Amino acid sequence: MGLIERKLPDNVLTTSVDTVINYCRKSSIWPVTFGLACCAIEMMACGAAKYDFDRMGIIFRGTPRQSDLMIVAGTVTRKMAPVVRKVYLQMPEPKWVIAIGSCATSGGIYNTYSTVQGVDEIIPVDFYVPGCPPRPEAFYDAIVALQQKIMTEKVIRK
Amino acid sequence: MTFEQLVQNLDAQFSGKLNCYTEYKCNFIKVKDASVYKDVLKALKNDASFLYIVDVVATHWPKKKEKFEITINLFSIQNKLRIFVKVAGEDNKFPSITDIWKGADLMEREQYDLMGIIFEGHPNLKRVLLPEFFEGHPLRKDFPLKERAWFNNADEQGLGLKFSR
Repeated sequence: MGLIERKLPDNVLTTSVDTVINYCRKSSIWPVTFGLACCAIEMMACGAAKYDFDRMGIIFRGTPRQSDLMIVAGTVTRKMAPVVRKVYLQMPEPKWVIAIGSCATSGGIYNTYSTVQGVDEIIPVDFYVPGCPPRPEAFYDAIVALQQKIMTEKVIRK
Repeated sequence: MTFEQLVQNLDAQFSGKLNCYTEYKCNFIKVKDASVYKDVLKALKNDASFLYIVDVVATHWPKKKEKFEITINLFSIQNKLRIFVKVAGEDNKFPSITDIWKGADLMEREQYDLMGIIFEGHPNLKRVLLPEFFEGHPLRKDFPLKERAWFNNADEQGLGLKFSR
């Protein structure tokens, strides 16, 4: 650091390209809302005024093609499973998945003939949030953990 | 018209073939002789103003002799009166009532889908909630609760999904 000390103007910062790209990615996570059951109500509460996802740069999108995060909130049935997979495939890289609630993580109480026992049977999941439904604080925990994970990723050289 | 008046009219027409009673503030008409089942329903619609069919319910009683029971929930908007018409049978075949109330179409399909009731005379009796490749009728009491082997019966959208749990 001694080499460039005081040789640059005061308003110039030095950093790596990876850090800049990751900082941009983590500060503007646009999730596609995959609300399937009551957990979706909790997801709406997170987006509303009190918990306010917007201040994290999270803006819900109605289409997978503009999104880089998929929040699967609720019970995934066998009939819905191909749709979840198809929406996931339509998302551009980079993409992450958060499974919200007991049902999406493991099937929960629905150990029955129609329910998929965890959404990770269909798509890769980055973070699991337990709870029935989880509180908005738990949602935030997953978002913050995802932001930390994004900051560790390598973009330019793998 | 109150339920008592309705019972009087019905008893005059179908004497001895009905069992009408009020239980838990609900009005029931149990059809004992299944051969007059549709005549009772036609009389209820045409003579007693029960134009609105609310629901068709099927019940499975595996230990009883008459294993299946149909409950038809009717409402008279004119008289503000709700009745439940019940009929039971040993096998799962019942006459369709779609020729009396067209609105019974989807309700009967749902009962066929989940309970396996064959409604004879229904115009389009096929599954409505479950996928086409499902086997069996899951709301019967003898259906295994954790029956998930059918998950891999079809790959309907060609996505290569495999279910193991």
